[in-house]
Amino acid sequence: MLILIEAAAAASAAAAFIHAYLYAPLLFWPLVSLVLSAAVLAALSPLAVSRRMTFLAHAQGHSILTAALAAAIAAAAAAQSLASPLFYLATLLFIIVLNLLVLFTESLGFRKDVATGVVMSFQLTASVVLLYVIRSLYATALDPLSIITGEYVLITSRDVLIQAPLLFASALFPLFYGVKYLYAAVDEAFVQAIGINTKLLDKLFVVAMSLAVAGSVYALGSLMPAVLLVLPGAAASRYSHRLTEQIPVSVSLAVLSAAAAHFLYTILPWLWPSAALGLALLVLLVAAQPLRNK
Amino acid sequence: MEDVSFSAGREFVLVGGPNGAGKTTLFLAILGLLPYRGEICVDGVCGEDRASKVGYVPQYIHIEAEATVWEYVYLPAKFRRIKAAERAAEEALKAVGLYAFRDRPITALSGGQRQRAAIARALATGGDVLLLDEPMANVDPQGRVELLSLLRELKKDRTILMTSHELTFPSDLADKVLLLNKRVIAYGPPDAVFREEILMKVYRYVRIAKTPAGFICVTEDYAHPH
Repeated sequence: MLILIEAAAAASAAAAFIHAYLYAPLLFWPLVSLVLSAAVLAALSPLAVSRRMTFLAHAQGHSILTAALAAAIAAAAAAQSLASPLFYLATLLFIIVLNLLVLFTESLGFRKDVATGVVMSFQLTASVVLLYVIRSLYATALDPLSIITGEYVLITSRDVLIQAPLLFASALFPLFYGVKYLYAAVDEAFVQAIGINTKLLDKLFVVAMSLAVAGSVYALGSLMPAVLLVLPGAAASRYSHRLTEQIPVSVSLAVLSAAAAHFLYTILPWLWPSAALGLALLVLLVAAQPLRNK
Repeated sequence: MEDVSFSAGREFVLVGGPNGAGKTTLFLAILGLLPYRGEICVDGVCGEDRASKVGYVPQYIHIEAEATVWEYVYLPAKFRRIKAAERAAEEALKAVGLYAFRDRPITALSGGQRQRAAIARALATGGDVLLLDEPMANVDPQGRVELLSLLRELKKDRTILMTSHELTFPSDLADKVLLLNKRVIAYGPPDAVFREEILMKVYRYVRIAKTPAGFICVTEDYAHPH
């Protein structure tokens, strides 16, 4: 099954890249950005699903919105655009702070889900405040909608070069610790007994998620990274029961969906690519159900 | 816990005692996961490295993530950089009779089979010392018979410490009994420990019967009256 899915992902990605390069050159770099973002977020997805962190992963949607709004204000105040390195760095900084705030709140004695909910409540409140600040002070310089949907068609090679280091840094976690972290979901007590520090891995995972969502916000907007942190991993667990296949299957499904999203967008220009990507993943998730029942 | 001092050779030690007596705490200290004063040595190794000589079966095994039986046993051996991890996992699975199940999802196994898989993992990752924390809990009678048969085989060339809240067991299994209640209450052969005057030091209610098959001890904790 893994080989089939990987082959389908590679073939569809190659077809999409060739199509974009030859027939829709303006969409080539946006597609590169979409595939990279989707692949890295999907590599983290099985970890979030297996470690029961989907709520925290979905909270990324809230934290990225708050962080991106705050970063956008910082960028506008410095007369920089949303494609500037300043915006990316400020977004990353704010996301890491907001995510670590969840672990800090948990350390105060709240359950993980309650701690996440408390910080999400703060983020929602802060988002309303920041949106109103943008409307009042930077209405001509900033479009808050672009922070929610992403700026897909405006993406250039320069944007990909800015996001690539963040995504690469994020990918290091699943690459080096992915299988260990997944195994911790199988039996945490045993993993700790053989000397693996799962608390430290939890913190590194949160940082990796922060890097991935900050790196993909310009392409995907502030909402879709949360979707890509949950759906590919959930779908992968339907397609394979092997722990070591979860990450490659998840990445392959995301790449396959990104390629499908490209073609859907060229056929139906009103269907925004990040939304098409989410729909394609949902279709793959539902399609896997009969396989599971067999 | 305090005043805990004992040594075990290649034998099967049943670690008993009421709830909260320190059975699991003792295991965690041996594994180096809890702070302690004094010295704990395994196979002549007394530092933190001793944990690498111990195979461990935790008390609660709630498996919900995706993994095959093979991955469940092999991956920890790989994480621990065990030499020839694949071979160690293969032999461990054969020893517990689950090699034929290696490609199945671990979640598809019965309670008794999961315990055997956990023992295989302990065999693949540890040396000749096994710490089994309540392995009979949540196992049906058939699984219990299979586990006891497996433990009889394993104890031939290993040191096994097994905690059990229940003190009823076949007479050919345990060579010694370590009775705990925050400290060592008694340590010795079952005949010496399973005496009413000793068990009454830690239990509110005790009835002992020695049958040809083994000891049957009915006990009741002070803190948990029926």
